[in-house]
Amino acid sequence: MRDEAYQDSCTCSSVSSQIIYNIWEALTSVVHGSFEKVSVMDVGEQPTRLMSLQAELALSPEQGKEGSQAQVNLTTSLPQPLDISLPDANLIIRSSDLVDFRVHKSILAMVSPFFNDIFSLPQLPDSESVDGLPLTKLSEDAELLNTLLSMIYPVRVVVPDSYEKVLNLLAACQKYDMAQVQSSIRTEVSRGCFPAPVGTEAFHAYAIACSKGLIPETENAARQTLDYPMTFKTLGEGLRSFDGCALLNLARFRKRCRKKLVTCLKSYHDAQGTGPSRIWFGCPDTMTSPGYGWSSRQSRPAVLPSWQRQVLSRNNHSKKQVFVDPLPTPSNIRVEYLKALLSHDSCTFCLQVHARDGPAFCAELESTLALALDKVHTPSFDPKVSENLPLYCRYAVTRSSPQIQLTQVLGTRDISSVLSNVAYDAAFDIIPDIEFDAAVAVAVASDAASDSGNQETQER
Amino acid sequence: MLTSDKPLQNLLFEYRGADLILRSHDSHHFRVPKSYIVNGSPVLDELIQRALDPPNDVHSETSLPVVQLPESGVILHNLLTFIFPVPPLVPSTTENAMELLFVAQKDQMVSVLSHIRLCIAQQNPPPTQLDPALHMYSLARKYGLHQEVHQAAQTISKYPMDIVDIEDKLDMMPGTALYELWKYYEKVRAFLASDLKEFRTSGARDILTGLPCAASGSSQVPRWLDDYIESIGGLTSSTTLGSILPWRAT
Repeated sequence: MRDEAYQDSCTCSSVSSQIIYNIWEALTSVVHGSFEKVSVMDVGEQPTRLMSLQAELALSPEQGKEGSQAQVNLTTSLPQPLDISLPDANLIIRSSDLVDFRVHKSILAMVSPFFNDIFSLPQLPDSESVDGLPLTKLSEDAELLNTLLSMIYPVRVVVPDSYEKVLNLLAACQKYDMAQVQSSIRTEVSRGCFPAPVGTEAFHAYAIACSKGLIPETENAARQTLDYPMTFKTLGEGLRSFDGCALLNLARFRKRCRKKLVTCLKSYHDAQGTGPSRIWFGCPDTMTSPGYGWSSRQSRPAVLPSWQRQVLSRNNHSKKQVFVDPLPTPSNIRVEYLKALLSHDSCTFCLQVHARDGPAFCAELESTLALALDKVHTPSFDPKVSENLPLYCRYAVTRSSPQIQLTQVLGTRDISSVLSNVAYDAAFDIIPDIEFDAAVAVAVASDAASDSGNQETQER
Repeated sequence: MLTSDKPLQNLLFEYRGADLILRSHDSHHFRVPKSYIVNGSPVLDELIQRALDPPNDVHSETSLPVVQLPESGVILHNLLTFIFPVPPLVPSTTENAMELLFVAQKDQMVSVLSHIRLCIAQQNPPPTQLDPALHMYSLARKYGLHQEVHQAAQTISKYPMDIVDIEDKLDMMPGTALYELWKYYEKVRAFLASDLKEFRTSGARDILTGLPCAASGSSQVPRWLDDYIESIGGLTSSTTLGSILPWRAT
């Protein structure tokens, strides 16, 4: 009625085309103005060739050498309790920020097969030394090395103050093949003695863990992200940490998880009087629900109360929800259950069922969801994913018999072996002249992967 | 204007009065007059001067001095067509076009850069669809091309943008680039909402003052127009602006 009256009385249809044009122009100008007010920030400036030339001159070998010598700082204060002047030290390790640590080869060799291998090599005559002690330069900074050494020596452990530092520490352990230390750090995290990612920090943690090849941490963080919406807003600044395929992989992992979880919840929802959901049959609110049959066993309608259906059909309405909403996970399903039940608190039947069987029902639901999630992994977890081939190559080349090792890794799917592959990176840091033919390694890896696939096909 | 689909060997520069050879990283040689190059680019000027200084062994292969450049033969060839008085050769792919712009920018060839931009705009108008705009954004950002980054970001801003909307393209660029794009996107939408609100409350900048519309609201703008402006300003990140925005072709 109002619209009709509006159309009858409005004289806008007689507005001149000039005015319409003026309005359109003004509006266009406003829109353009809004777009022009913003510029894309921090677009990375590429250095000009001139700048490269200047930089090249500034970094001539003589100047660099002098500079680095001048900056060596043996007394930089570090968090106690590590004493960087250990008596009987027979090795100096130098951090990336030029802090020297006097350590014992035997201790390092004990915790790290990598260092054990390095120390077994004959020392080159022109190797650098400080105060008569051989010098090994590492790419980690002093803070990290200090924490790492505090975990190796019998001193009070220096606790990292963020989860990102924990990840850096784990990455260093992986690089130097310090499996025992790495395991201790993981234990400390699980005990709550070392920081762990909180809330949406999981997204950032995932990105960092992924970039460092820390498979368990990548997996854990990826699972933790499921409890939060995965939107640009949620990721916030953490988005900056994502590289390569990490974000795409996380998005796909989330979709696979959603599929599993929704299927799992559907099995509860659709159970015709036989599944664990049967305890809710009989809610007075459902007695009048049309369209459902009667359970032959219980003489009650095999219909779930609406609040229960709401819990079990979470994230099942639109595919868009997979990113916009948290997924129904073992860690949040109980809260959702309780919230939904509260909205139905006038029903004595449901409250009584809840008091009697609710906790057991929730526990079973959590357990089923956890089992469903256990079947989904991030791509980094799968050793057959081609992206991981370079890792195998590295692993193969660090050892004397590449083909044998490679076949072993691919054949046994030994994840723990794969984890130590990054040791090769460390070898490059310390022995730059190590022979490495990437093309050959990739070819070997591809052949091995192909052989492995053929073998499986034949077996089938 | 030509496109660069022809085999490179047929298009190499062989100037009769050449006094310098530019060698690409894939070993294509371009015999060129030095004056053209040094006048067009202060960066190449310095590079050539350094290369010509003794005791650099630049005369090893031919009688002319050779200056090694890091660009590929294809890109170098395209670049030279914009420096010399020949029909300019615009790369046929976005990747090569961006790389060409990058090289011109890196070598501080101001007029050549404008010339290339003009030719690219004539041959390949800026993308209006989301996918090519994202592609262009990622390349332009990689090469530090502000103008192209801005152009692509503007196009992207007219489409819904969140993980759900660009899921398959999430690996197209690093997280930092995506974050900057997202911040840009949010700011544009915020400015748009506030500017349009101001436009409405000012009676469409007095254009409609005195218009005898019976259904005007408090903003004195006819309701049909008010509803339209409000619909643009109140859009969320999940709305495609492209189809409803008043937009002037650039």
